[in-house]
Amino acid sequence: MAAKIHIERMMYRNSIAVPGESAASYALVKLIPSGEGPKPLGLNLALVLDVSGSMYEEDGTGRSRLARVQEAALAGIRKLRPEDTLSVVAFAHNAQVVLPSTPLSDLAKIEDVIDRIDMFDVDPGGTCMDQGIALAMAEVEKSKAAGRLSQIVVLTDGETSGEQICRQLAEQADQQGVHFTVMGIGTEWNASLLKDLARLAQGKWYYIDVCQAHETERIFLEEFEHLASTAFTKVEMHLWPVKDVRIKRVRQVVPEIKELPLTEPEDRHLAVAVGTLERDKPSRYILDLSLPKRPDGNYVLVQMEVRYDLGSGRAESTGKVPLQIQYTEAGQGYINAEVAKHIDEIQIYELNKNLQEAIAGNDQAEAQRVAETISRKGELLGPRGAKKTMLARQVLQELHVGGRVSKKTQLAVDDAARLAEEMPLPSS
Amino acid sequence: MSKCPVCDFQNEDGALFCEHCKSDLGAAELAAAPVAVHAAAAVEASAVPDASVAEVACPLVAVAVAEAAVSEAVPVAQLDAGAVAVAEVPIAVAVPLPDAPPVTVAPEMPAQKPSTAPDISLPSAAPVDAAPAAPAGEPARLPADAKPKLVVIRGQRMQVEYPLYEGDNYLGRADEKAVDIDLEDQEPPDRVWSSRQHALITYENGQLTLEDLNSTNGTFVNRMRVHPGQKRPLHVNDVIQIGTVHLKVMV
Repeated sequence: MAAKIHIERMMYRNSIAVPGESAASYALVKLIPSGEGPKPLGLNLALVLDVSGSMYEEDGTGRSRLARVQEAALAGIRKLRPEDTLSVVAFAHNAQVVLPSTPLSDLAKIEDVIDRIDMFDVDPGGTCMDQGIALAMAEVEKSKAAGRLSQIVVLTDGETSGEQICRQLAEQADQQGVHFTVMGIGTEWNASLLKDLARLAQGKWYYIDVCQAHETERIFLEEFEHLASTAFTKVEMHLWPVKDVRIKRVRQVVPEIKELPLTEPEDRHLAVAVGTLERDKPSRYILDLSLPKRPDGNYVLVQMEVRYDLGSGRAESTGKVPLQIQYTEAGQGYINAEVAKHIDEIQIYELNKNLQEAIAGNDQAEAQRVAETISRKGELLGPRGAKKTMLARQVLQELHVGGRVSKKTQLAVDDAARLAEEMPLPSS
Repeated sequence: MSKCPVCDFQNEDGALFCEHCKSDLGAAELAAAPVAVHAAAAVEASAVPDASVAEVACPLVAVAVAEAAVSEAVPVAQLDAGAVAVAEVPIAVAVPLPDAPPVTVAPEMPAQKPSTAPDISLPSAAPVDAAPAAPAGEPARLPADAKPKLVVIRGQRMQVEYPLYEGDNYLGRADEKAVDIDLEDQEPPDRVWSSRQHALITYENGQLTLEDLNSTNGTFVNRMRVHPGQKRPLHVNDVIQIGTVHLKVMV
């Protein structure tokens, strides 16, 4: 049986009462890859690496950041297959293609370039990530082929010139079907820029904490593993809400929390860009709904369909499935524990957004209030929320002692807030 | 609309946290204590996902129609009192009008029972689809399609339901060994009194049985201790207490 995606869905409550004109409700949708092992797609990759002066800092580890990145990249590419292609661009004050698009079968040549990346003629003063990305996009364009996933992995440790150009390039990449992965190493990079690039080009952002010994390698391995297992591309969730039902927003919650862009191709037909999915990892989404008042009975709220490409260029579909609920004026139904947990995680993620804004705006009182709320909420999650609770407490501690939050803690909180914890419930 | 207690932002009824300041909203106040009607609704829920029409008639209509057919086909003398009680009442209640009163009033319908039934005194009214009220001392057998569950009536997250599956259902706190019902989120973090493998509920042949697994602080049903080794049968509406968490058995 061909690889396909299976949809499971459940409401926050299986029956509701709407006393007023409308009520908010939530639905959890799971996308589960199934069928015979979906084949991972061939990869068309570009690595864009910052080789500016600050990359030579050792951060107390005895090895420069660049050396750690080189080692991590060499480990990461071992996850690739002979038919995958890789190009490497180095940037600092200027940018250069140090390795044009090369198949992994030519491993020796690739490893040699990565080993010598600090020896190319790139002036280490200053950073022009925008030029680096532009060169990578040209390389990726050359090796583009149907059924291959095109991805540009960008790593930087600092601010760059041409921020607006970077954003434009990300938008352009998305239109061309090329995805970005962005990695910020250390604490001096522009978080909002890198997050924007990830969002615009439907990819992921990573924070590499330089004080953690093997973090660079861990993240490279995680990302390359993820790329090498991608089997579904151009995944879109299509939603047709019935009259008077409103879909306010759609967020992914597993593997990480992020809001997904909604477009409206036609009246009452919404499309959600899900991105890519790995061949054996289910993903989960929460839909925020607004439901109208209705007489008692069972109603379909939304028809949903997921479309995807297995690399053949042909659009596959799950077919339409309904999302239903029971209306009972007598009283509310019981709460589904799985859905409730994810909503708690989303709340912390949202609180974190407020916290980041408060810190950036130097609003100490607000930062304190939000951090306290996160700390309380994290406690309710028990051990599953332990990291988030601990980091919130760290924020409060730093505010109390010095009146400000260190960049390092700020980044760590940002990173942790979007991770949903895995849930050991009996249902899949 | 409901106002956020922290920032006064107007949120939609039922929203779980404020759109503006992200503080908790008491969505619980919208919930009247969930009523027995959900026993009926839940039992039919398994049929619901298969229906893909825009509006499905109230599921109880289907039940009533089936049971009405049964009661007409079988001579009344052959039915025992229990069966008649179940078969008769739904005929009166299951009127498929959009503004029909909610099903909870089912027991109060004897005046409308059809004249085909002889004058058999009905046992005290029980909710239509729940297990018939058990005579004292006899464990109640749940109908084959019942979906029993535990509902939290006291705990950190109220009204959460945990389904009980056929076979073994372990209660406790997930650690290296998984549990089916994890009480971790229900107990306040400073008063964790449940053990990792605290208790076991077995659901076999329509019968629910609770056993304490040598827990440190004990397991209680309706305020009476269940001792390790004692297999305590469970009935609908029994309240199990583990630590400060109260769980009610429902279908």
